[in-house]
Amino acid sequence: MRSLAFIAMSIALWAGPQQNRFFQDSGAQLGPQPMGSLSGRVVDAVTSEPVREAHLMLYGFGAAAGIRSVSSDASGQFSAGELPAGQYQVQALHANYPGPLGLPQGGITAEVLPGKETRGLTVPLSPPGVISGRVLDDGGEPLANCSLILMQSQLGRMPVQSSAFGQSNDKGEFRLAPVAPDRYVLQAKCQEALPAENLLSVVSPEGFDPRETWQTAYYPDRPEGGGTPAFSVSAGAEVKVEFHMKPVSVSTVTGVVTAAPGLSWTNPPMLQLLDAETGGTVQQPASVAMVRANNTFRFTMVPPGNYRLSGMIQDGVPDNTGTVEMPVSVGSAPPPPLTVQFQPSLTIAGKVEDPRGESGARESNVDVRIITGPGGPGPRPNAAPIKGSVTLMPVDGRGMLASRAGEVNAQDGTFRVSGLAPGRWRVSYQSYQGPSWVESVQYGDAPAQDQQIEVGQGAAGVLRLVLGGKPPTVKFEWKDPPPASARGTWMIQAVPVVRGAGGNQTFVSSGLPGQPIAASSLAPGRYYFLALEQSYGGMVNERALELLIRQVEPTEILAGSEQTVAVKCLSPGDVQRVVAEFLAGETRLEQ
Amino acid sequence: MTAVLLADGIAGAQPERNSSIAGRVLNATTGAPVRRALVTIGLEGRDDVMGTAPTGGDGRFLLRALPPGRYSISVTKTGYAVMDYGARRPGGPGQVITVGENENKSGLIIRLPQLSAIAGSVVTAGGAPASGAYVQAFRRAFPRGKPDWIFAGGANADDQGHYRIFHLMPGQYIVAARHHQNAPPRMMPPGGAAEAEQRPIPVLTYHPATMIDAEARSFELKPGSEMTDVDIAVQEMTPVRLSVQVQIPPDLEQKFSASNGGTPSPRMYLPVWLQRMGSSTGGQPLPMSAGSEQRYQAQALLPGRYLLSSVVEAEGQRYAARQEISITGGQVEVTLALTPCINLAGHVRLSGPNAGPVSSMTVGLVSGENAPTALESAKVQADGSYVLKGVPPGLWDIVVEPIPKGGYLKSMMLGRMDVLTKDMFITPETRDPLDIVVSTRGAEIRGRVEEGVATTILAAPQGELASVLSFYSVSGVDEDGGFEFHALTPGVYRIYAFEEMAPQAWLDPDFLKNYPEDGTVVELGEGRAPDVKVRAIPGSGSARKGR
Repeated sequence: MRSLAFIAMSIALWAGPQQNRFFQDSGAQLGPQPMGSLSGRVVDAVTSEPVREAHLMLYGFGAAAGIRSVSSDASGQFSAGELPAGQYQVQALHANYPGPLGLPQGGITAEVLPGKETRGLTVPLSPPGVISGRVLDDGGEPLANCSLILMQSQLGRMPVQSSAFGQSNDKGEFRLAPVAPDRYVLQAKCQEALPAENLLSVVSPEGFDPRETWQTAYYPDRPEGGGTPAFSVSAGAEVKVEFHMKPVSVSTVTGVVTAAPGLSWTNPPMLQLLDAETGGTVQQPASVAMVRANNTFRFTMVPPGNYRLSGMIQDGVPDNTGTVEMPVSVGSAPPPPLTVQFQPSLTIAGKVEDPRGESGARESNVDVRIITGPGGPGPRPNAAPIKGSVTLMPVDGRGMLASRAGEVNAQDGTFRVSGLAPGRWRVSYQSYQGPSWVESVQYGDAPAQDQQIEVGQGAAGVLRLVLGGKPPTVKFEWKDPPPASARGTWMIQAVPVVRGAGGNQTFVSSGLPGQPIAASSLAPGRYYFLALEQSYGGMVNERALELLIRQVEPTEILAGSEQTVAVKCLSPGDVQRVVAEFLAGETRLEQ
Repeated sequence: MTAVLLADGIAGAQPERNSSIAGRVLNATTGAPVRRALVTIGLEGRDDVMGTAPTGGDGRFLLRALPPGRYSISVTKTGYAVMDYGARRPGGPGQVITVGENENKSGLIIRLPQLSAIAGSVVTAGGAPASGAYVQAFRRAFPRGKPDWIFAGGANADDQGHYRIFHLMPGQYIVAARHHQNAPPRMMPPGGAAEAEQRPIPVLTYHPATMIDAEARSFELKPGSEMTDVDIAVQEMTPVRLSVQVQIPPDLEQKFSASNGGTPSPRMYLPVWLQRMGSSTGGQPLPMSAGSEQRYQAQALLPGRYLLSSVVEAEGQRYAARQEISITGGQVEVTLALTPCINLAGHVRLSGPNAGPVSSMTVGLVSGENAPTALESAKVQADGSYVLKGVPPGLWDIVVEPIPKGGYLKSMMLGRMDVLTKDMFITPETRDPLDIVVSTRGAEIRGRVEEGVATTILAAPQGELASVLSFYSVSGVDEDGGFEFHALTPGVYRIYAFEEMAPQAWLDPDFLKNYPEDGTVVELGEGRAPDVKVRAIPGSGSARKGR
């Protein structure tokens, strides 16, 4: 469960600062107070039935700081003892009760009194949604074994992602449960070659090529123009969907594979046909084919459309790869046999320039040792010390291309990245020697916009990364801080406006409203700054974050100066409101 | 009159293609037309010549542009059993259709039996829906000539505990559910937590609510029907504390640590398979660890005899262990000693006229006791020798392919033991070669049904050979009551002419006991036997007797 993973992470993040705070800020240490306890039941908010084997998280505030966890038993009961007196947020988690957008459900607030047992608590869990329905053919007959893929709708910069799978039975029925309240697209795909007429003839062992299949269907329907449709599933709701599948003609696309001179392979390469428009977002190939021993290939069941044929040689030797990308158009008749030529992948050489001088002058010189697993290369003899790595990621999610990286020599800053195909790539840098940031990227003669470069087929230029100086120190101050009685730590998130290649490092600092916040160094750039209460938002997921960043204006962090940033506080109530508006369909899905 | 069909593009005398076959496909239960079924036509004697046609909204199909010849027709559609034209039941022999020049045959009817479904609810011992439980349906069959339950399909119970297993062939069924409420069985150190772990855990439970397979309630699933309310209340039992230690020979331990970068691996996880003997329904994999530390698992195991086996591969060498154990409850400690698997070698010889090269043949092994190991077949070399590498101990059935057309498997000897008519059991000490003789000249016999109407002819071996299932042969009957058998193993046979016979009915050892005096006895040697006349067995058209 994703939310549980976030909890585990936040426990690790949380331990340090809060502990210190207990002793630093409260001045005189509080005298030891007798412990109390909590007990109660976890119930289904609609049916009031107990929820067995739920996982409960207890967040203590103020003097009762700490996170504890217990489980509910077979009758939904739970109890937690030895709790310091104070206020707690009690949250219940259960795999069958996902919260909206996959977030944990809020829970209740409870007070622990010294030396007393707080009883009879009821922690409600809002039931999830259910999607059920039928898949029928064009005659109204049920279609069995169709695959149903439930995908979370596109949201801001997050693309469509699959979140659940189902299959239709012999009555065409399917049921997807539990479904977290969110907005979705549902796809039905019946992978069946429909019967066709083939006159009596000699056939190969593969038989006749399929000529017709069921067209993949979506709910809501794909619009002809732009726009991103999605449907909402709310807590406890059952959405019923009926698919009426229509047949579509399909063709077989055949061809032969060749290699540019000097290029060869041992393992047969794999080819994919991707939808030219959506291939980058939905990432499901329309058809896949293995190249055979005689270098021919065959894609079957290809509906009419525009495609991108994409292939890669993968022999496990990173420097000897080849790629191919070409557009393929399939009409009502199959295209003539294709000739697909693999081109060798390119290698880019480059240099990282660090204005702060040689590696020896840095705070910590981390000695990175590569630990190899079984079957991997042995320890490298005379390995040069590495200062960082440069990663190139394909832009627009092209085909099967993965990101490529090269190590940066600590002495002279040089690196090489191999296995690249022509196209657009985003450049990023990861330092192994303390925090650093990239001030500018230059490829050949031209500076790179947004750290993206265009790699051409011919000789590659030199890639130059200039690192920035000391990253600016950013101080934070609370904007619209919650009332003084607010409990708990608030986590400050710095979300880069341009979604980075190396992951979205967002958490920067934490603190209590009204108290000063520790400063951080941040690489220059544009960010959304916001603060979320730890018990609810400290582990808010990426999807919810896409909604929350729309509540604040981006702030630019400039190089070379010290800045103070006003951080907007979003209370759990604010988060719930934003999520509710989204579920009600009042929020646009695109960026 | 056989049509000569030349390959495309070769000039020559092509026969006229102006005949056709038309017909309809109907649902065998309801009589309703079946649309979008696939009708496939094949030319007799040629595997590589076929044609297809779809059925329309009214179930009608048309196979056009056919040259004259003898054809077989079969129909398929998802959710229905495959039916050959002229067969009485799915899997039964079909009828050959002869089409002349310029002939438009019509009126063929094929009735497709719709497959069936089993549905119900699964609840835990506490009465809550057992969401995620895996439910399996087993059908009564006689895979090795003995009654057994074979896996026919499975499905997971949804969030409400409902399940539905569909596309099942008709027959007798039992249903069982397995539910892991918590994480898979936890490893426990000896002593200490032992007492705490004695709380009951879910056990494989058969419908309606029993853990004993002999007490499972079986039911008949008719074609095109659904059986609902096949509910299961998962039972719990005090687990057996099972400890299986897998002992590794020192050279294998070396290989494991070599692949781990030189450091000895402290705990290796090895696959162990546990199967209750005499029952094919309860096999399960157990994650076990090798090592000197004694570790226990809580397993819900009924008292009885079990088979424990393990197969491990390291650097191209296979190791295996196999042990029969008796479980009565409480605590069970077993040590499985892995030993290198033997290589089973031998020779294949072709005898008889027109014996071609042996080098296109393969010899393979299939487990006769549901072991989950798949072995690669061995290619027979030009001199007839072959080697099956890494054969784990156990009961194995031998598969020799391809048997030349009209030929038969004449003898299989493991050293001096006849493994053609008897089971073959391999142990780590087996050293004998497995020598196989295939004859190209099997027995051949043709006949006619003189009295009555029969649709299925069974040639059943008598005497010692009666226990060898692969010697039985079934034939359909053509328009004139004629039938033929090829490639039979020479011996004494009884030829039965049934008005109707369910496919594979003879696998049930009690089946033929219903017909003690019926059938015509023939003695077959290699080559063509004199034609025989038979009489249809009166009253053999009703449902399978005996069970």
